[in-house]
Amino acid sequence: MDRRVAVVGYAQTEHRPRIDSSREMMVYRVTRELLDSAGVTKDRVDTVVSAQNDFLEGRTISNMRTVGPLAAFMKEETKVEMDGAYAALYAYARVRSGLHDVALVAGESMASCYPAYLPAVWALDPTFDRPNGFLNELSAGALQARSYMERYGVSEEQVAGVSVKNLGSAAGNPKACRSIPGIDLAAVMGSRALYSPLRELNCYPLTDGACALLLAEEKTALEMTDRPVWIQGVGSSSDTYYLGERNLSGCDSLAAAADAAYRMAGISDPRAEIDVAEVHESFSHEELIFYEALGLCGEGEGAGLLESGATSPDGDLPVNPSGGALGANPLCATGLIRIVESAMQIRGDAGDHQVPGEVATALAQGQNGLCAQQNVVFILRGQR
Amino acid sequence: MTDLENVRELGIDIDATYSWSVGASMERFVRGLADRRLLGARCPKCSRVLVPPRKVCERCFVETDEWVEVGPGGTVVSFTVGEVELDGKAGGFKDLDVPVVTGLIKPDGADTAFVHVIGEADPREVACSMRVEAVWADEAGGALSDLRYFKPL
Repeated sequence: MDRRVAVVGYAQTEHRPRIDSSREMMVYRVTRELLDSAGVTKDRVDTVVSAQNDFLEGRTISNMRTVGPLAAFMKEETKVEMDGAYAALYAYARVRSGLHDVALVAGESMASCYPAYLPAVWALDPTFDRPNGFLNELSAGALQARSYMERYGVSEEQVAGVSVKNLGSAAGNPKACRSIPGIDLAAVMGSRALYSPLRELNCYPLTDGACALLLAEEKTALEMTDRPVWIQGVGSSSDTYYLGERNLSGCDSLAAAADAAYRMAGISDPRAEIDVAEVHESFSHEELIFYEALGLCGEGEGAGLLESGATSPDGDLPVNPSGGALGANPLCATGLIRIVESAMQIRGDAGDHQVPGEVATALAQGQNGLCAQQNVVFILRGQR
Repeated sequence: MTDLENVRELGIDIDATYSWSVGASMERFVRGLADRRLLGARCPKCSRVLVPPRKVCERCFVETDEWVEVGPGGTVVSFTVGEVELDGKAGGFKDLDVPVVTGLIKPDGADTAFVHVIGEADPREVACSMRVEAVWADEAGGALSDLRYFKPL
């Protein structure tokens, strides 16, 4: 049995520092837009998997209140407390297994409604890291940045090049939360120093937003759209929680996730075979680490790949033409946005940030946990 | 008088006190700090010494069975100079008058590093591979804070 599964529709809110709406209406609107744009009624949806987080929502079992807004009334429905790419992974498994034919996936959060950065503090080991009080999301990202830069002799300016590329690219993406047209290196290097070597423009912006995706098995997909985007490979892996036990100058769990996804999709040379990648870089240095973990270049060659222009929007392997997570990072939606942006590039639907040339194969990454502890990779292909 | 400006939004505090069992390994680790000793746990299978100690080695999925004293010297694996701290509000930072150096420190004899503060140091001179040493509280309080920070050697 080999059931193919396709992306048949998607929708995103505009991602903003503050969306002036209730959370329920934000979720309803993105779900409504998803179904309307796919030309599908809610009765066609068999199962709903969302990504949302009790701490971010300030309530326990936060999906109790989103059954309605997610079009899940009296349907099978569940959620993951992780990045939205995990919700997509589980929805994919449900469809691929034959249990369901059509799955709706959504991820959302509103940074404007909780004390930002504190959720990660509350994720820390309560017996050591948290009571010590030395660690948070940004200082952890800084330790990761320093590990990588030290090991491979990468400069702050080289890392800042990622912010220049992504925040510049975000100017072509009307959904992006933060874009800086014409941004240069000096702007990044002159932004507020937070935790060395991280400055404000090395770090993701606090974002409100939601994203939704519709998956269907092959026969249903071909009924629903003449432009399905096939999920050809998936992979996922989790590293240890403990930063001091991890290889922070690389990302071993992403490498393992990518290996699994490449194997499934029959990809042997990712650098040559992938046309566009959307990665989940919470910080600029992570994009360089991810190039290497994804096998797009060798170890320590991330900055060189960036500087060659290959990963620029007009390069031969554009990475984050949408602006990536530096452009918008609504937690629990960000990885799902990577999948949606990849599908948009394959369909030629990306508007001002559509890359030149045909996009046959795209890679999307979601991640979760301090310093990208947990990773998931999707390989998507256009119709063939 | 009704404040109609505030009808749009509700501010709600969630106040909940949890009571965690720290586990036998961490309990012994903290008791060790009171004696100015840094204790790690050795995995019987891969022989790695884990600090802070863990009862189970994740890689081998077996229980650790041996206590090993590590440090008090150690090596800086990575570090960051914090110019700010979180202010606990929505996305805000407070500028620090004195920057705080946080490091990943690998105690001598351990196979893992942990996050702690590097004190008595000029932030401009802290570097990876720098040698440091534990600084203890004058009087043991039976808490993590008995290990105050690490200072450059």
